[in-house]
Amino acid sequence: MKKYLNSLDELSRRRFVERSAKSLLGVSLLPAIGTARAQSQKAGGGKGKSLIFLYMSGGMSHLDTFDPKTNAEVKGPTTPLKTNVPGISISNHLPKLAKQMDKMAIIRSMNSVTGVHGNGSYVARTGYRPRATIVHPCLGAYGQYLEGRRNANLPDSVVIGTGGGHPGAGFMGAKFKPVPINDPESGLQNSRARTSESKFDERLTISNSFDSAFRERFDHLKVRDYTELYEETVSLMRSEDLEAFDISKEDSKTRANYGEDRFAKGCLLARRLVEHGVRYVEVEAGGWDMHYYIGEGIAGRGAMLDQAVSALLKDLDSKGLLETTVVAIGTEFGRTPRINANDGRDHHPRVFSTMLAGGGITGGAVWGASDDKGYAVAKDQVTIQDFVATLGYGLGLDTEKTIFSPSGRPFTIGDKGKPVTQIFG
Amino acid sequence: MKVLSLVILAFLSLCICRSLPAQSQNVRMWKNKDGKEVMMQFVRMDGETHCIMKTKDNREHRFPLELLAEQDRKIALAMRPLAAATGKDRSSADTALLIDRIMNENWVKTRSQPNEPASDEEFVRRIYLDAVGRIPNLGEIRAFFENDSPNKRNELIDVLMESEGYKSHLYNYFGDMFRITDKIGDGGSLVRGVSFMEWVKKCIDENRPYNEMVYEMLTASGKAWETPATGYLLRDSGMTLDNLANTVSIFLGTEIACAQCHDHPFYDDTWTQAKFYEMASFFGSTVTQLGPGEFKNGEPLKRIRNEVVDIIKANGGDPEDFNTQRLMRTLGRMIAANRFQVKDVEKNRIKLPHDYKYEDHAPGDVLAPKFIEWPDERNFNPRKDKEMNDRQHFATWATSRENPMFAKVIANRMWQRAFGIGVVEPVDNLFAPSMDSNPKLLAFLADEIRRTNFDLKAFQRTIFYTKAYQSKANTTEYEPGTNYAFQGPLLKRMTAEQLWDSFMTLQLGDPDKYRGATGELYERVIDMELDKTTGKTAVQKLTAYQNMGQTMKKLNDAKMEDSEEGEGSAMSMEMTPRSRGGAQLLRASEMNQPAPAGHFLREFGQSNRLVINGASKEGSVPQILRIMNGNSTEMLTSNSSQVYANLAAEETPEAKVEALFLSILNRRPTESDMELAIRKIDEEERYAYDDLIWALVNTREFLFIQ
Repeated sequence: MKKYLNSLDELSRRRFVERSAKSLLGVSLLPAIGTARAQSQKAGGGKGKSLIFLYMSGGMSHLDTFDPKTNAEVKGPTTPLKTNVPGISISNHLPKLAKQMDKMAIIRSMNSVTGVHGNGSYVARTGYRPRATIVHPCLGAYGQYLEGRRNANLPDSVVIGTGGGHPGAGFMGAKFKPVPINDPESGLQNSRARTSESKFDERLTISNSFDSAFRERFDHLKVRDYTELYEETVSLMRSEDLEAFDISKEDSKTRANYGEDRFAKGCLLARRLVEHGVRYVEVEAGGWDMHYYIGEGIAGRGAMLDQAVSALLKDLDSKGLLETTVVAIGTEFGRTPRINANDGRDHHPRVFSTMLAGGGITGGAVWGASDDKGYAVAKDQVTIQDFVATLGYGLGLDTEKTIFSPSGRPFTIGDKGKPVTQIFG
Repeated sequence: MKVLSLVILAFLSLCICRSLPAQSQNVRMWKNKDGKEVMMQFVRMDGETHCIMKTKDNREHRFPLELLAEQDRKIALAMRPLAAATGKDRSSADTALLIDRIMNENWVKTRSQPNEPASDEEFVRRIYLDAVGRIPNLGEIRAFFENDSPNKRNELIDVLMESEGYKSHLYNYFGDMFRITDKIGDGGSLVRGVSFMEWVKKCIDENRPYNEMVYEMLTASGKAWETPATGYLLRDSGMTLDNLANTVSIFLGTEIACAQCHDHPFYDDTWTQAKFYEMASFFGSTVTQLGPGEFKNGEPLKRIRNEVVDIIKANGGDPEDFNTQRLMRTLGRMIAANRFQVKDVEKNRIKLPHDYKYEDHAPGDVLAPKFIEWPDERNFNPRKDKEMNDRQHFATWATSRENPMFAKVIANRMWQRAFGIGVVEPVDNLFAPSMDSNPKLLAFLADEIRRTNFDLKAFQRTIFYTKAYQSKANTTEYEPGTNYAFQGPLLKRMTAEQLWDSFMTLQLGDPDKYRGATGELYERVIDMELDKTTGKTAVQKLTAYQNMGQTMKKLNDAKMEDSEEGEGSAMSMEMTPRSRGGAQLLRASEMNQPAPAGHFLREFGQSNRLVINGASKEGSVPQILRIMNGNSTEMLTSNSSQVYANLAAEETPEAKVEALFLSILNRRPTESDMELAIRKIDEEERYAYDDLIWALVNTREFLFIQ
């Protein structure tokens, strides 16, 4: 299993780069691109080989998770709870995570300019505000683009439960697109044949035979590409790597540690994928848009987050993977300090919190702060662009490198955001 | 037809006297095969197989060329150019000949040869996919094979261009180009794109001149459901600059998005940032959401809400109650939807950005509207009429036949759809092309678009009539960036929509019978006249809205395949389409726009409708997994599918195999195909056909169009 972790199947990588460069940029640019990629160094300072990005969709309340307040006006249904790191408290809704504070770095001075869910999630995933003229890639796509693909069978990026709003690889195209998983329990969609293996082989043989005249007549790159993809897909279906997608291989104790809900299963699947060398896994959990009765809302979501993430951190740690895996919790914005008429909190992009752990990040740290009401940034503002750049940096990517879209427009990881390098050891 | 023409010719030979006026070259005695002679004037060829001649009584007659004596046949063919030159009434067939002639010059020049004519099998599959966006069904293929008219290809083209499928297929293209979506506006917006969709389909159905259609999209005012063409501007509400950059790119083939932020590095005199803003100024006084100042009776949200609260209190309700609050939020969204409209106001709000860095203007300057000009083109600057607003002025300029780019861009786009490659590429940036194969051809095509008055149907028909289009696809691989001589169409991967609709054809036989949602009920419910709506009306509207939600939930229980977004979208099913295994069996054009993430269509590259050219034809592992192991393939092997019915209708194994090949690949099996298939059937008859269906849809031959 180790071999999948670090090894980069050089041949398939080179072939892949060739192919993707061709389809992306036109053949004439090929040599220049090839060299540029070959020389690209790990310019980022992070030690992370993989990133598990846990996306709290709807706007996670900072005041009820990682930045609790004692001020009665704003504390809401939450009281601060001491963690295993002296001087740092987090929400009482996250008791298990509190015991692992020594693994985590919290950023309490996040800031974004958009208070709309769609736009906010888009910026949090790409570093860019949505434009009608281009779709920007997510970090997973950047990773594969800059570093090449890791494994001939497995995809580089997987997104779990993210639904329709995910920008995917944006302008980078299908080759860099994260593979979506709707239901972590059933794993990779359509990955099981409907027939026995021998029958499946027989069908393929017949198909190849019916197709042979056509393939001979049209021996074109795009036809060959598809033929290779068929081979790749069949080899994935047969490969042991496919088990990476199968959480039923986990023992019942491990499964119980994570929890029974979809997010918990998503986190478990994320760990399996990272273990098999997948670079980027995103797991989305909804239900954070707590305009009403936040007391009930946070009790439920808090428990879910607490159990799954604390299990994930422990699990990664015990398998020796935490060193090389960045785990991050992000969201589009925080929530208003004032409790509204419906006992809820509304959208609040002005200040909010995120969390990072693993991958060389210094645990037991808090970066930045909000004011005593959790209303505005008090110190060391981190914009959402800075946050995306920080994740890129954590993954060891060059966040200053300019990448051009096919139409020649320049982009960088996190839209020129500055990584918070201080939280890295 | 043949018989009739023979009779005409015989009749003519009896009654025509020999005293036609002064003999020009084309008025002469024409001889038929049997040696009979008639004095007639050659008018023109109608395609390659028919000619039109005028008798002394000034009547025109159309008959097959083959009725003429061999010598006269040659003479008629030689007279073609003369006829073809006549402007206004030129037929599609004649225009196709002129196009072929232009290409012929290029073939001679580039020492290339046109490909052989495509076989009937190749042609029928290609024309169905290119004209109506799906493969032909078995009945349609057999009808074509059995037709022995020498002109049967063009006849089929004529039939297809008038069919439902034509509408569906062109709609998909526009859907991508105009970025048509189910929902317009941010997160909680209640505005739907369905009226705009229906409007686009209607325009295609009525074959409205393309320039008129675009003019309307750029100038329409009002709400999304009152004036559906507003959908194009509302779609990018709050992003005027992006919308303009897209407009200039998709309609005028000029990529100026860079100039939004800085002067263009290569064309710094042509596309400066200031010029971009000058052009954006045409839309500077157009708003897409009504501000508080637009209402005589005060801010409607506050007023209506207060009235509703009064009603609730009067009825003993608690305005702070959870459910009431929820209702009030819906009310807010409903009011917001009614403010969402295109309107022209006094003030131009487009200013140069705060970081404007050039010396000609200062940041924050408002620039006067001004058209861009293309170097090396005959530019056109229409005067602004008194009654025109800025937006209409822009639209007049942009969609005019005098605009140097507008006709050229749509001509090139339609050409690209048919041949798999434009005369110039990329189609949305003709100004900095990576290849420019045949300037003379593109000029002719643009003139042809103008001549037909932007009749896209006639124009496409003409392209399909050309010999070049009806030739075999190029087996030599095209090198991107090089010029192409159009020896035949390029091999194309099906679009996501073509592939899905072909699966629907295999499943349903005639998928054009089934219709998706319309938005009428929905829009009646949410419509409000904000200045007049009372609290009472608002309460009624809210009730109706809630009830509608219930009804739709019931109607909408057929979820989209593999979709997690099953929540009752506003698109109810008026005529419930067939569904299987949770998948709606409809053509792509009748389904959610775009299909939800994870759907077959999106997997195979349907545009997310966020950006222009969002569609992709690149392959991926999930695509292959789906086509090998997914429901769409699995359902074909069930006895409810049309392809299974085709199978059952045949007696012998050989006939069954042939029916399968014709249904799926639209060709007859070769000898070795047949041998293999029969061997398979002999081994285990029960499941052999499932295997064969699976094998056929999993070929590259199925996925590509030759």
